[in-house]
Amino acid sequence: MASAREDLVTAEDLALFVNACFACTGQSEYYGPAGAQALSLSFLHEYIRGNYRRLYARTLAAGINHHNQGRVIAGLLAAGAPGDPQDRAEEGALIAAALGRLPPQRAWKLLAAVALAGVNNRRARAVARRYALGRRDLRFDAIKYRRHVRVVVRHGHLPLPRSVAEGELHTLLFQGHKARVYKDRLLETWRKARYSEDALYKLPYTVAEGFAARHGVPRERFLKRIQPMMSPGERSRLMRSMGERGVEADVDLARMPLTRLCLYLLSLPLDEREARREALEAALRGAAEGLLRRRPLRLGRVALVLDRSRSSLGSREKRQRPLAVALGAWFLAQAAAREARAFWTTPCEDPLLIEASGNTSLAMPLLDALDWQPGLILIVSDGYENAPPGGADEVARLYHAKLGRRPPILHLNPVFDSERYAPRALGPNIPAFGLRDAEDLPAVLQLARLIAGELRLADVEGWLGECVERLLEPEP
Amino acid sequence: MKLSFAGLTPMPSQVWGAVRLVPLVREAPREDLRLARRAFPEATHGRLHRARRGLSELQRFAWVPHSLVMRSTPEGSEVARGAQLEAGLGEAPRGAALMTTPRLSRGHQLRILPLHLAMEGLLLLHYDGPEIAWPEYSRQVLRFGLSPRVEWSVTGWDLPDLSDALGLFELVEGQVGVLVFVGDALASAFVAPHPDDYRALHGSLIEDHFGEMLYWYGQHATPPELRVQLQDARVQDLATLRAELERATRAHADFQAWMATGLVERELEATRLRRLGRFTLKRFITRFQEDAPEAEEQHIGEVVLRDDGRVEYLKTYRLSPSQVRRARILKHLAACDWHFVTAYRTWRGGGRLDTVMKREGLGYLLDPVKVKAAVLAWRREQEARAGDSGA
Repeated sequence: MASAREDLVTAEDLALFVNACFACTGQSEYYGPAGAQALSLSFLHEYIRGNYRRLYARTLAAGINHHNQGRVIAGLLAAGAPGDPQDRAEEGALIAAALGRLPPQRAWKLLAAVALAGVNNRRARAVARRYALGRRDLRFDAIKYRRHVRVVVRHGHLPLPRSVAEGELHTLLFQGHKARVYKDRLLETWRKARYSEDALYKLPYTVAEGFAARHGVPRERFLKRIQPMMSPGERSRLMRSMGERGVEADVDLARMPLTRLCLYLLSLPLDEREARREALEAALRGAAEGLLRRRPLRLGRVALVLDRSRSSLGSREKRQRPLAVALGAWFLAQAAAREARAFWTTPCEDPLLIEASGNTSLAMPLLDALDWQPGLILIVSDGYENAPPGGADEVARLYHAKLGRRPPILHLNPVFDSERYAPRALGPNIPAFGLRDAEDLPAVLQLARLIAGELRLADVEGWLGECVERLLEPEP
Repeated sequence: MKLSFAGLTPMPSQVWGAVRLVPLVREAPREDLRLARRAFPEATHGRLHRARRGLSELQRFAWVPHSLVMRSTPEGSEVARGAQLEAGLGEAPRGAALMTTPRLSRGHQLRILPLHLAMEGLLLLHYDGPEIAWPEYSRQVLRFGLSPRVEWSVTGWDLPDLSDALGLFELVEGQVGVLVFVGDALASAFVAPHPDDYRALHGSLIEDHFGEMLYWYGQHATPPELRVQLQDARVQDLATLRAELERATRAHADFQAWMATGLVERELEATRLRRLGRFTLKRFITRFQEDAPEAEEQHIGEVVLRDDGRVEYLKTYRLSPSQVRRARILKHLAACDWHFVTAYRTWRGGGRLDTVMKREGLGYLLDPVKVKAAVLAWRREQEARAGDSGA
């Protein structure tokens, strides 16, 4: 029987880990290089995997970001299956379910990384085989992610189905362009694209891009003709680049995810934002409402203290992400709350025209927010407060000590601090939670409710259990 | 003269590694003096001319990454900015166009090289050498003065963490200046006339030079972030909490400004170099304490003052201890009218003056044989006098 103290340590470790997995992706941040982030995250994964194997596997269901799901799966596969049959079954089911929900490029990359790391146990082979056979169109994957698929197939000696692509998949993967002809139409198009520009426009965008470079196709022409083959994500990602080249991007703004939409908004110059104000605003509201339909969230009177200081520019790898998360949280809160109000670090009249600038003074906006008497205060900031340092934490401490426990003050941080293995907190009196996408707000708030008060292992395990059940229940 | 930061308000600092940057905000920036940076694409070193004592031309070279152009207007009107200012500047100066003295390019426009005036002030300290040809000095000094006089400094790139600290620094609304601390020692102060000017020049701080001891300070020190603390007793409700936060923030910022007292409110020895309408350009060096100038921090710098004494432009450089010692020796020699035996006799800086001079790199000023003779003669005289009084 584990003592209460041990339970507390377990619960704390787990909360730390899940928190980190919401925020960190191993990419560089405004104040921290990518190497330190990745190193710190690797340590966390190893530590939790070594000590709490069962709970570690269960975090796959907790809504952590894709990067960390990938790391968890790779780590579990490398560590081999657990001895206990029940644990083994659960872990296997979790891995299969999580892997199936990852975007295919991530899934293949992760399987290839497992293969390149020399992991070749029975379970790893079975997982790769099951994933490959479960794909809707393996031909398409084999072309689009050919390098990764080849590594996985070769390493695990995966049997490729004869029924797919007239049994030519093997030829495609291991002979590629050396083959004279393919009977399958898609594979033949791929072969032809090496020699003819016309053929490449029938391929997926990422594959075609390589061939276009090979043929020296001007970017304008390429973008214009390849557009029908782009996925909605690719189209929205390239919207600006296409706009600059005079190619009309066929993007349905309303279908873009909220944070992506905010990032797009922030990438636009101010006059363009002004000119397209109505369309952008409608899209942002639409995205927030659509999200709430999928993941219901009800809030009362909520105040947001939002950081728009210069550090919310993010890094070269995560351009403007902290600001986009703040903006996304604002639109989400507006849609979810009965009443919502934003308090920016530097006052901002019009959130649509916002830009990252100024220093980080959270204490004053926090006081303004308290003055408004909300039921909940959410601070979205990277946690580097400097005007003055520690001000917000002191305000929270004194307010709660002298003027009442309510409203609760939560800090949502899009930035992982590699030296503390956690999203950087403003101080001991404001609990901090990782938040990489504004979309995760409902999940993070749920987690916050769990661990902001008195932390109990039973609660954390119960919550994880629920998440697991939800993940493993058969899709309708 | 004393330097005062009236009209400039310090704000809470931002710490990165060994570097602490304290922003200075101007309450009411005026538009009648503006500063712009000119980078020199190719004319990377200019020849500086200075004629001296019969020597028709003494050539000096300076490497100049950029210069500052200052422009003022009659009271009330605004200065042209941005592209207009750039267009008004004409061709980038090159070669001989760079002068040791600030140059009035055109009308109300002044071109200066950052810190050049201050550095020159240090290098030109008693630059002409002895007025009377005392025999103890080397032939070179008697002919050419102290030339060549050399001082070393390190660039901003060499200071640990400075480049990151400047890059990550979050500019404050209305900021016109910054105090740079390395290892919590004041390294430099920079003030521009207008927030836009400061914004444009913030990055150029990395190209300035700094006293070499700051490099060592930066290697080891990690200054604390200094988190603000509110006092429980003063808080009863939201209004008092707000007041307490404001008080604590002010105190926090003022404390950092207090850390700059080695420069602010110190007695300065200032030289007026130029007038530009209502503005005066001066260079200064902090006044040395008689006994132990190394014990205090010493700064040199250049400043533009408005006629009401407000600082419009400021750039300072912190002298390293060896530079302070050299300056002290030169000042001491000059105070004794360069009479070596008198200087030797009245030297209170520890050690023998000639040894100290050799150690500090000023040995080339002396003629060792003559010095030895003079010192011996003085000793004998002393002994003889002691013998007389003893007998």
